This record gives sequence, C-alpha cells and structure tokens, in this order.
Amino acid sequence: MSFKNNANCLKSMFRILSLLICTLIVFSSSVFAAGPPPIPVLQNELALFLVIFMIILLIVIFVLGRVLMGLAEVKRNEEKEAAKKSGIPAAITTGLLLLISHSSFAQDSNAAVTASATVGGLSSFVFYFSISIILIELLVILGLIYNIKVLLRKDRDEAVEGEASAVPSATLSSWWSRMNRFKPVEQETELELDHEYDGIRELDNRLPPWWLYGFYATIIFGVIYLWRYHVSYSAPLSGEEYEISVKKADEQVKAYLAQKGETVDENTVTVSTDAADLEEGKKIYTTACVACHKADGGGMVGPNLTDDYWMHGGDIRSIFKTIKYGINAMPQWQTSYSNKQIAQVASYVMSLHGTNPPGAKAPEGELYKENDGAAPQP
Amino acid sequence: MQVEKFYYDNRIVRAFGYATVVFAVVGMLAGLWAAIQIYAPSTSLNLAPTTFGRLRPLHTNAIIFAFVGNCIFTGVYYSLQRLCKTRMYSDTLSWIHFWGWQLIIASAAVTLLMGYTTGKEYAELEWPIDIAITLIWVVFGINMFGTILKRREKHLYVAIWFYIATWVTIAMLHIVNSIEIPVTFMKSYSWYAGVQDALVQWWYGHNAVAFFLTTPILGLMYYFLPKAANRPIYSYRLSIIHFWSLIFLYIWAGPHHLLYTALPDWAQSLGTVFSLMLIFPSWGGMLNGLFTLRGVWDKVREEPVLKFMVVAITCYGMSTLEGPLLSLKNVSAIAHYTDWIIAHVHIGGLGWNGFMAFAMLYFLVPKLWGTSLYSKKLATNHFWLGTIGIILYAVPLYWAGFTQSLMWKTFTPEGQLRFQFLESVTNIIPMYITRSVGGTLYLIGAILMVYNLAKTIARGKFIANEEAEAAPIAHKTHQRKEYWHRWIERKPVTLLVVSLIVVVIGGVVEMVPTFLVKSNIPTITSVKPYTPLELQGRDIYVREGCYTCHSQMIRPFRDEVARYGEYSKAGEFVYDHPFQWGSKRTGPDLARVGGKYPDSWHYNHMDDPTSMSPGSIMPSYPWLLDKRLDTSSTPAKIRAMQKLGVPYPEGYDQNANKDLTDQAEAIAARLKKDKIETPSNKEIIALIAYLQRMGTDIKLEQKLADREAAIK
Repeated sequence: MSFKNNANCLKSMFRILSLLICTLIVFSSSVFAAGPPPIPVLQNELALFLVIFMIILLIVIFVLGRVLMGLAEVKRNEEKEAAKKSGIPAAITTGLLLLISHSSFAQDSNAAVTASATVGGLSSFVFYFSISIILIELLVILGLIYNIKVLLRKDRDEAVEGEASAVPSATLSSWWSRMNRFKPVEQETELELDHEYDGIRELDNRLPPWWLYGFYATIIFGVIYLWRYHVSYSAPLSGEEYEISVKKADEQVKAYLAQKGETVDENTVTVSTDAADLEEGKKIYTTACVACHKADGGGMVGPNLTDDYWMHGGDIRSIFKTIKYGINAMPQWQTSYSNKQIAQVASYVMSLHGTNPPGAKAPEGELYKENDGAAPQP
Repeated sequence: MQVEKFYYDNRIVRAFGYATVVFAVVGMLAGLWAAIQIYAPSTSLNLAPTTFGRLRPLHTNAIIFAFVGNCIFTGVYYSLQRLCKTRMYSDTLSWIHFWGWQLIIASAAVTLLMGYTTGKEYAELEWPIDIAITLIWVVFGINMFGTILKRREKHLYVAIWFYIATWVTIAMLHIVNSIEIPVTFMKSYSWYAGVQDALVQWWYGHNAVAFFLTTPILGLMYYFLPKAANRPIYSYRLSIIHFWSLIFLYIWAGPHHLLYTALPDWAQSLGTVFSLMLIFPSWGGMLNGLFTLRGVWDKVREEPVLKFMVVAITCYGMSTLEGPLLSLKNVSAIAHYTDWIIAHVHIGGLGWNGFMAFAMLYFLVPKLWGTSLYSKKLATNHFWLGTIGIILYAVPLYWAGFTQSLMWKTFTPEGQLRFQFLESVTNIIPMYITRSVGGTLYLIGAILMVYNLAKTIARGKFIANEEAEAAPIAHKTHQRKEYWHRWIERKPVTLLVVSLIVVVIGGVVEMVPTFLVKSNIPTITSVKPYTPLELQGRDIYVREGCYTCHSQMIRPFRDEVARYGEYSKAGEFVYDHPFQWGSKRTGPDLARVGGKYPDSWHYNHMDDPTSMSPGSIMPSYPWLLDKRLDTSSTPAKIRAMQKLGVPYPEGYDQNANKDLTDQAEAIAARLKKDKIETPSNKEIIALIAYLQRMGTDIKLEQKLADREAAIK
C-alpha cells in the first residue's frame, strides 16, 4: 500500500538534496575564490534578483500552462464524446482556456525581454515596471491555478460525490487537517505498514505540506543568504557593518551637538565654581573615581588629587584631557561621560586641592603651581 | 521457524535508572547553588572549589553526561533489547560500561572542583578522563552493535537509527575536540589555537547538544511515546526524511555560536544558513511525536507519562525554532553573551531532556517492578511544579537578557555609553532571584518523583530477567517490492558507515579551509607569545573558570568598541591554547583589559571585588593572594607550547623561570609603590601579569605605526 508513496518520498528527498547541493556550489565558488571582492552596486543586485524572479515565475507559468493544456485536452476529448448530447459550451470553455494560457505566454516573453534589457541601470521607472511585470506574472499564475483547480474539481466531485460534504466540521480544525493533510483516524488502517517492533506499529502518513514547503523555503533562504553575502557581496559583512554604523552614529551625534550648541571641549573648558556644577561633578566622582582615588581624593590605586603634584598637568585643561582620553593606567571616560560632565568632574577635582585628607598618598609627578606650566591663557 | 525463548536483562536498566535519578538531583542542586551565587556571591563560601567558575562546569557536566547520559543508557538498554528481540550482547560489557561511566562521573566531579580543566565548555575534563571516556564509549559501542548483530528482528526501528548516529557522531566529536598535548598528569593544552580552537570547540559544543541531548532522546521518544500512548507512529517517511536531514544539517551549525567574532565571515554564514535549515528537520521529530497522539488526547489528560512527554516535545519544538532564529546575525547581536541564551538552553534542558527523562522513569519503574505507579496524583503535582518551574526560570531570564543587551547598546545623544557595565548587572538581579525560585520548584518536583518512585519500587517485585520469545531472522530474500529505505534498515553496519559519512561532511567543509587557508587568519606581526609568567597566569585564569563569566571577544559593534576597545582580530589569538573567548558576559569582556587598570587595582579587586567596584557580584579570590605559584611546571609548559608551534627560542624552557622571576618582581615593586606589600612568588602576581597583557599587542602595533609615521 505504500509503494505508491514510496516514489514521492524518494522524490522529495532528492529535491531537498539537490537544493542543498546548489547551496554548497553557489557558496564554495565564492569562499575559495581568492582576491578582493568586486565592489557591487546594490541596484545591480536588485535588478539581477528581479530578473531571476521573473524567469522563475515564467518557468512556473510554462509548467502550469502545459498542465492546463494537457488537462483541457483530456477534457475536450471526454466532452467530445459527450458533446453529441450537449456540444457547444464545452468547446467554448476549452477554447477560452487555451486562449488564456496562450495570451499569458505572449505577455510574458515580452516582459522578460524588456526587463533583461534594463539590467544595467535601475531608474524608478524600470523598478516599478519590473514589479508590475512580476505582479502580472503572479496574476497569471493564480489564474492558471484557478483554472486547473476548476478542471480537477469536476473530476474529483464526480469521484467522491457525497463523501466530502458529509462532515462540515469546525473551520479551524478542518483548516488544521488540510494544512497537515490529515487522514481521518478511522481510515488510518489503510496507511499502516506491515511491520511492528515490540508492538510498535507505524503509519505512513504523507509529509505535512506546510512542513515540506517550509523546509524548501529555508533552503532557498540559505541560497539567497550565501549569495548576497559571499557571491554578490551586496550585504555588508561584520566589518563593513561596523564601519557603516559608526559613520551613521557620528553624523547623528554631530548633528545633535550642533543643534544643542554644546561647545565645551579641552580647548575651551574653564574652572567652574558653580555649586550645581560641583554637585554634579561630585556625583560622578563618587561613582567613577573613588575606587582608585578614594572618596576624599587622597589616592590609593591612583595618585593623590589633593596635593600640589600632578603627573599629567594640574590645570583644568590638562585634567579635563586626562579624564577624557585617559593615560597609562587611567581609563578614558569620553565613552561614558559627556564633555560637560567631564568638565564638572574636573572642576570638582580642582576643588579638592589643598584639603589634606588623612592617610593621603605620597606626592607623585611634578610640582604644579597655578599659571605655571599651564598653557598660556588666550 | 522454531520460536526461541530468551530473557531481557533488566538489572542493567535498573542500575542506570538509579544513577539517572541520583545525578538528576545532584546536577540540579549544583545548578541551583550556582544560580544563587550570582546574586549572593558570598554563598561561594570564599572557597576555591565552590566558586561559580568551578561549580558551573560541574553543573553542566553533571546534567549533560551524568543525568542525561545515564538516562540515555537506561532507555537504550531497555528498548534496544526489546527492539532487537534479544538480550544484550554481553552482560560483562554492560557492567563495565555502567561502572566505568559512574567512575568517570565521580572523577569528573572531583577534578573539576579541584580546578583541573581544559577550559573548553562541556569538554572541561582533562586528558586522562578523556581517554577513559573514549574507552568506555567503545565498550558501549561494542555492546550495542553486538546486540544489534544478533537480533531476531530483521529490520532496525527508527529509534535504533538514532542510537547508531548518536554513537558514531559522539565518538567523532569527542576525539577530534579532545586532541590535546599533556603537560603534566592533570594538565594539557588544546592542540588547536585561537580561531581554530574556537571553531572545533563549538562544532563539538553545538553537536554535543545535537547528538547527546537531542538524537538519543528522539530515539527514546520513538520507543516510549508509542508504547505509553499505544498508538502507531504517525509517519514512517517523516521519520526517514527528518532523521537523515537532521544528522546531516546539525553538524554544520556550530559557527552560530561565533557570530560577529573573529571567525571568518564565510564560516559564520554557513553556521547561520544551516541552523535555519534545521528548523524543519527538528520539527519533523516534534510532529511525528505529537501527531502520534492523534486520537488519544483524552489519555494525555489522565496519564502523567504522556503529560510529561507532550510538554517535553513541545519544548523541543520551541527551542529548535528559537535556536535557528538566534542564529540570525541580527538576533544574535542582541542575545549573545546574555541570559537569553541561558533561558534558551534551559527550555531544552529542563523541558525536553528533563521531562523526557521523568516520563521515561515514570513509565519504566512500574514495568520493571511489575506493579503500577504509587501515586498518579503525586506525579501530576510533579508535572505542574516542573512546568511552572520552567516558566519561572525562563521568562525572567529572557527579560534579563533583553534588558541587559539594550542597556549595553544604549548611547546618550551626545554619543556616550549610557550605562556602566555594572549598572546593567545590578539592574537584573531581581530576575536572577526569580530564576532561582523557578529552579527550586523544578528541583522540588524532581524530589517528589524520587519519593514516588521509591514507594512504587517498595510495593513491587523486581523482574531481573524478563522472559520473551521470538523466532530467529528468516534468511530468505524479499522479492516483493518495498520501501527503498528498508534496505538500509537491514544493514546496521552500512547504516553506521553512511551516518558517519553524512556527519563528517559539514565538519570537513568548515574546518579544513580554516586550518589550511592562510587568509582566514591574517597574521599580526606585533602579536608575540606569552611570557612564562603570563602563561602561568593564563593557566590560573583557566583553572578558576573565569571564562564562565567573562568573554575575551569584542564584537565589531559601536557600543563594544566604545566600551572595551578595538574589536578583536583573528590574528590576536594565534598563541591561545586553548582559546578563552567565552560565551557569556556575567562580567565585562576582558579581551583588552590589559593596561586598563593599575596592578594594585587588580590586586584589591581579586581580594574583594566590591572594594574596587561597589555592587559587583564577582566572587572573591582570596586564595590567589596566599598560594605560591608552582614554577616547577614552567619548563614543561614551554616545551609543550613549542611542540604546538609557539615560537619560543630553542632551549628557552631552561631560562623561562628566570624571566618569570624578573617580571614577577617588577610587578611586586609596582604594587609596593601603591602600598601593597606582597612577595613576588604568589599566584596573584602571575594572574596580574596575564590580565595586564591581554589585548595589548594590537595597541603596540598602533604605537609602532605612530612612531614610524612621526619619523617620516
């Protein structure tokens, strides 16, 4: 009982296999090809894709057309015999069908030619034109499928007669059964295979169609994915993606700062004694700086910030720079805090000067006196 | 044909069954303890063996190889005899297998807690144990094949295909990934370095999931589900297609653990597309399981065994959909390194593996003791506790992973990182607490099961040798037409060989170019081998399991470059035996931690992390400050590295310790300047040396380039 399905099973395995092989071939050709990738234009890729899609649809139309014509032929022969009774309408339908399928071929070959002529560039006109062609192709396919179904249904209705209409069950569960091509449980003995293992029997149900087509879809996705990244180079690889995102973000930040008008940087920063600024500065100091410089600035892992000695300059600009960019063991903070915040911390650090906290670390660096060694004020 | 009488061996099934139950509880306890440590670091007791870095490998190994491993063997030893209509090939081999495996588990537990580890996830066990595993696996293979060859059933049932594929693939994975060069009795270095090591490791790691946690369990499902439901398998041809496509495709998917890393892009893409193609083969198993229950769903309402199976199969379906989606680069960018992944694996672990194991035990124990289950009600309670436990475990972690990832990636409009790393950790601590509550519920459920099974056993009588009879295989040729696949079902050896060929392909295509084509790992001239002290420090890093919480791989994202520095390059890892890229960021990335903080910061931080970063959940490592560094191993380590191709000068092994002492003294002197007095021969000094080296070779290259530019 399973022999009939046997071939189907084999066939679907072959189909899957061949798709997989395609994936690999497409891919390997690019991986092992040496040399830098050609720099592609996205438009080309798109056009290429559209054309391929059109061609695929064309093939589908061709196949469906053949099927329909074949069916119509069969029908016509059948009905010719019957026509002795009721002749005319059948001839008309068949003729009409043939006409439809033929005209669709005509349409399509034109379309393909037009599209392939415009692969080079892709103006909006070309783009929408191609899209409309694809839409038309899809419509034609739908029409063909509809016609085939109509023809087939007649056959089946005659065969099944009342049986199908017997159980008009709830729509959801019948939809579910259709999606899975369930056979009613009562009829499953027909599907039972002639073996059992330790009492375990096996049925030979058809593969759920959505499962099978889902599988095909993922394989096609795989081919397109590999094609885009490694053959046509039309999708950015990790490194390129990074460059793009950084560039975009930089522009955004620049635009934001320009609009906001924040101008503080290491060249324009000045000491602030404003209580609010110092309060803000202290807050940041307690989260970011205390671990190394201690809460009172006396220093521990990092140097003492309250004495007269500075390793990298004691003026506001130097301190700002040290905080912002970091140096040696001092981490950079520009990625965590804005220039304004860094200015606030720097001012707060300067406010600690001379507080002489207990247990402070010995001086490190050079003696710094105000207005000495600092950059000349403009 | 004369019907023969024979006896199934139930004793071995019972032994493996007991082991399953014991290690379920042990493994889950270890997991729970580790989970609690994440929000209460002091529960590590400040002892080396019980810190997270050592407990976590213990948990993963105990669950995978002890709990699920024993569960597989229980199921295989029970079902294989019955599907082949024969007793196991050799009782002696069965018992060697049993005791060998338990001995491996015991030695694994001891050595992992002592800090003997290779530093490769799920393959942490050191080389002597690796060899023991190989031997025992061969014993299992001989026993299994012997049984299959003397079977009284002409064709092999689908469950056995899965057992065969499991056996051959695990053998391949284990051997290839465990190639390492022994240094001392319990210390070895991976044969592979950096990118290559990462590729091999995740080829192994991913397929340990595939062929240890998935295919054998599918085999068990194909046996126990139709048995428990008394229904025929839904579709034979679905079995065929999903079996072959599953084992073929799975092998390729490893690189999806390495998206956006320094692994060559083409290998990453292969990982992505093959993972996506895996959805439907995996779902084939789920559908075949669930559809088998068509017509008996009313039974599911009453029968605890079926309840567990339905949730298990559903969890399998969910995590095999989630996995491929996580393999898409844009999803991986969010989920990788976060708790999302932990949630994902636990849907599979708690849901699929755990519940299948429970279902099997609830089914088997009454059968083996010739009685009925002590309490269905208790089992149903277990079911609900477990299910709620899974939800309480997973949902908070999904939330935590998503939140944390978003926090990492958020910038202020001025272009600064919005959150410090630590803020992203403290923010999700409530989720960690909820997760451990979920885990506790799940564990309580398992303990209920232990009680229920004990009661069942108490009221039954064990059937040690179960009588059965069957006719031997009739050796007449089949003339009538049949399914083409029936042919291979008669030929176990062919099935074995074909399975091996099918699973070899993916690995070969991914690994051979990565190993041979030079452009895959561009050389960086400034990258130099580790100094002897750094090498010793690195081994301490591996020993303490730092990789369980810290990655060493900066991905090419704007936020990661802002937070950690220039993104990692393949050429930076050429001397890393083993690689330490990690897979989770409970703490920040360390790839470029070198030079970021002063030596004294590290010293204080290892002694008490909260002193340097208040609110930190990292455990303390006070013993590193006291323990003397064992320098006697230095020459052997240098020689091993030389054998692996690390370019130390000829005869350097004899001078290495002198360099080591010099560097250690320099560090001790720097610490002294920061008011820290410590002898230079402590382990902490070596660890600081390693930490300060990490990721600095590239900075050096920049400096050299700058200087060159200045000269011109």
